[in-house]
Amino acid sequence: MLFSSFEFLFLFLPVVYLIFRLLQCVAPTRVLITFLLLASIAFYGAWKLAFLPLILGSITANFFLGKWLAARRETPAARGILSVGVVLNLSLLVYYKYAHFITTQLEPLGVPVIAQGILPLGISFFTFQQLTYLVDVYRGKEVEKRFATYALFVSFFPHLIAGPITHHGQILNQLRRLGSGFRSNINFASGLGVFAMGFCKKLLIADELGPVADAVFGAVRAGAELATGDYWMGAFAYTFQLYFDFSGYSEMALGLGLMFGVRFPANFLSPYKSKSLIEFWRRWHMSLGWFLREYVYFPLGGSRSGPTRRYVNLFLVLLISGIWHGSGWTFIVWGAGHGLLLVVNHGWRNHIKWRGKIYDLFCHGATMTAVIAGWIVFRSASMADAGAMFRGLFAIESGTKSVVDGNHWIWIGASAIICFFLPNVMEIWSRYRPSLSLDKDLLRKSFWTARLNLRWGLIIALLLYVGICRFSRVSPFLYFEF
Amino acid sequence: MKHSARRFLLASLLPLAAWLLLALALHHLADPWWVSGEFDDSNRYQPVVDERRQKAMHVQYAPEAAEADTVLVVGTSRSTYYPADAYGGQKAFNFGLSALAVEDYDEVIRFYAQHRTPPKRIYAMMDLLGVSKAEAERRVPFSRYIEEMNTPFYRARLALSWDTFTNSLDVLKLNRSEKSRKRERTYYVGAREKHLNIASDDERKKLFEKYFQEEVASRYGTSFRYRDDFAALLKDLKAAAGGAELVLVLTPVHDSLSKRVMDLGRYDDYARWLQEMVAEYGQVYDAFSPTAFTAEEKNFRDSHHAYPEQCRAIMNDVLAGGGSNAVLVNQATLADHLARAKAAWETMSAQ
Repeated sequence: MLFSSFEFLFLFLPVVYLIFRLLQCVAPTRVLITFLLLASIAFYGAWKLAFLPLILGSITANFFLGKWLAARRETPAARGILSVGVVLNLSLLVYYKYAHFITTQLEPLGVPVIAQGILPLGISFFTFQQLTYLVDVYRGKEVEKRFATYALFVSFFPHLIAGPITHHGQILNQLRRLGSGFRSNINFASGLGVFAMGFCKKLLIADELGPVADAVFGAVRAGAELATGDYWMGAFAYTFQLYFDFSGYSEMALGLGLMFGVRFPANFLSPYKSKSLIEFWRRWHMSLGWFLREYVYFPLGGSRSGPTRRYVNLFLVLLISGIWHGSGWTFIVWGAGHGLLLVVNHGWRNHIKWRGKIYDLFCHGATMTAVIAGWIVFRSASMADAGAMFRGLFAIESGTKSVVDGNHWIWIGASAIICFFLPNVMEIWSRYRPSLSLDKDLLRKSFWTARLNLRWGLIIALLLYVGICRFSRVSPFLYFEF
Repeated sequence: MKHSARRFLLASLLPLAAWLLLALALHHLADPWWVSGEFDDSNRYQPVVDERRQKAMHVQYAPEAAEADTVLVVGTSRSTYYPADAYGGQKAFNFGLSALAVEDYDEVIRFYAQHRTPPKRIYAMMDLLGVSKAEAERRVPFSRYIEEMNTPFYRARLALSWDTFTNSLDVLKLNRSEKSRKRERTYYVGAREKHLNIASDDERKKLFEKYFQEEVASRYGTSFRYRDDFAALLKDLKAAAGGAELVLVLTPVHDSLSKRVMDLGRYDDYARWLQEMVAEYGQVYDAFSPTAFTAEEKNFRDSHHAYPEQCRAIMNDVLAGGGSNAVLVNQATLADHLARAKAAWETMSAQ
C-alpha cells in the first residue's frame, strides 16, 4: 500500500486514525500501541502477506535478543550475544539483497548463482533500526520491556517501508506517551499540511519526471544513440525525480507520524542548495547519514586517529552507503565516488581561503555537477550504460533520435527553481516543529511560514486535490527498491 | 491555537470533500468512460478520448442490455466506423480499436465473452498492416489496459482524476450543443462527426496526400516484413471464437493507396496473406482489392478509412455471401481472384 494510493488515503488512513482517536479517549496507552501495531502489520501485509512472518520473526528475535543481552550486559557473554544479533540481522539483509550479486561475481570460481528474489519491503530500514537497538542495549543505553512497544517502534507504518531510519531513543518515549492526546488537533492539522506537501511533490513532480528519466535511461540500455539534449534531459529529470520522490515520501511519513503524535527525524533539508558535498550529506537522507555516523564512522575511530585515518573512515562510510542502496557495481562506484569527492572536499576546505558570492556560486555549481554525475551512475543499469550516458552528454557518442518531449524542460526548470530558491517543507512548517530537533544552521528563515489558518487550509485543500487528481497514474516510490 | 487548528482542518477538508463530490457528480452525469448502460441528454454524444479504455470499461462495467448483442466486430480503426446497425438486423458491438494488432484480436474476443453473452457471429476485420512485423513491434497491447483495469480501486481512482474531470466537462459541452440532433449514442460519435464534417474535395485530397507522404513508405516499404507466425495467430483467433461463427473481412482502402502499396512490392505479401486466411478459414471477404467501391474517392475520408454510411455497402455484400464490393474468396476462386487483383493493380500502375 503506497501513501499516495487511493486505498491508503481514503480507507486505511481515515479508519485507523478515527479508531486511534477514539481509543485515545477511552483506552490506556498499551491498547493504543497494540492497535497501531496491528494496523502496521496490516499495512505491511497488504503489500505481500508472504513476507509478514519474516518481519515479525525479525522483530521477535531482536526483541528477545535485546532482553537476553540486557540480562547479561555485564558478563563476557554479552559480546557474543551482540555478535549473534548483528550476524543474524546482516545475514538476512545479505541473503535477500546481495546474495544474487555476490554469487554472480563468484560464479567464475564455481559458486552457484542464487536467483534474484523479491526484496522484502523496507528490509534495509528495519534491519538497521534493530541493529542500533541491539548495539545500544549492549552499551547500556536502552532496553524496552514491552514487546508491543518495541514491535511498534520497528514497524510503525509511516516509517516502515522507506524510513526515515529512526532511533529507539527518539521514538520509544513518544510511543509510551501516545495516550496523552496532547496537542492532538494541532499535530493532526500540521501533520496533514506536511503530508499534503510531500504528497504533491511525489504525484505532481516526481511522477511527471519519472517517465522522462525512464525513457532516456531505457533507450540507453537498449543501445540507442540519442540526441545530446535527450541525455541532458534524462540526467536532470532523474536528479529531480529522485529528490522529489524520496523527499516527498519522507515528508508524507513525517506528516503521518505527526498526525498520530509521533515526531520522526527529518530526512531532507534542501540538499540541492548545498555548496559542498559535506553540506550535501548533512542535508540528503539525513537519517541514514546519522546512522552511518553513529554506528560506522565513530566506531571506526572517526577523526580521533589523525587526518589520514579520518579520510579513510569517511571514504568507507560513503562506500557502505553506496552498498546499502543496492547490489551492483553502479552503487559501489557511486558510493566510492562520493567517498573520494568528500575526502577531496574536506582537504579543499582546509586549504582554500577564498570566500564570497562568486565563490559560493562556483561551489554550488561544482557540488551539483558532482551530485548529478553521481546520480547518472546510480540510475544506470550497468557501468557500461553510465559510460554511454556520459559519452552522450558530451556529444562524444550521440545521434539524432529523440525519445522525450522538449516540453519537459519546463518541468525541469520549475523543479530547479523549487529546489534552489524556495524554502523546504521543514522550513515552511517550522512553527509547528514537524520533525525532531534539527541543526539550526541548516534551517533558513522561510519567507513562507505556514500557519493553521483559513488561507493555509485552502492551500492544503488545493494541494491534496491536485495530488488526488493524479491518482490514476501513480507509481511506486523509488526508495522502495533500496 | 486549538481553535485555529480546527479552522484549518475545516478549511482544508471541507472544500476538498466538496470538490471531490463535484468531480464524482460530473463523472456520473457525463459518463466519459462509458461505464453506464443508461444514456440521456447529458451524455448521449461522446468524444473518443481513449478508445481502448472506453470500450473495455463499457464491456466490463456497463450492465448488458436485456437483448444481448449477437454480433461482435473486432479490428483496427478501419473497422471502428462500421455502423452498429449494419449487420442485417442483428445487434452488434463494435470493438474496433485504433492500431489493434492481430495478436490482440483473440484477447479482445475472450475479454468480451468473459463479460458479456458470447456472440453468435464475430467479424474479424483484417488489414494488410496486421501481417507486418514492424507494426506488431509498436503495438499498444490490449492486455495493458486489462491489467490496469484490474488494479484495486481503478474505477474510483479514474473517477477522481483530472482527465476524467475535463473529459466530463467536454461531454457535457458536446451534448449541450448537440441536443437538437437526434441520433443514437454509438460510441464512436467523435470520430464519426469528424467524418461527416469533411465535405470538400480539397480537404479529402489533403488527407490522402498526408498519408501517402508521411505513412505509406515507412509502413509498407522496406520496413514491412511479413510475420511468419500469422498462420498460428489465425489458429489462436479461431480458438478464441469458441462456438461463434468467425467471418474474416479484408477492410477496403482507396485504390490510390493499394496501388502505392503494391508498387512498394507488397503483392506477394498480399497473396500470402489471402492464402493463409483461406487455408485456415476456407473463405474470406476481400474488400481490399480493387473494386468499384475502392475506386470511388468519395467513399473514403483519408484513403484507408471509409465513411460509416458507405461501409454499409461492404457489410451488405458480406451478409449476402459476397458481392462486387466484398468479394467472396475461397479455395476454388483464390487463384482467379489473385490474378484479377494483380492485373488490376498492374493496369493502375501502367496508367
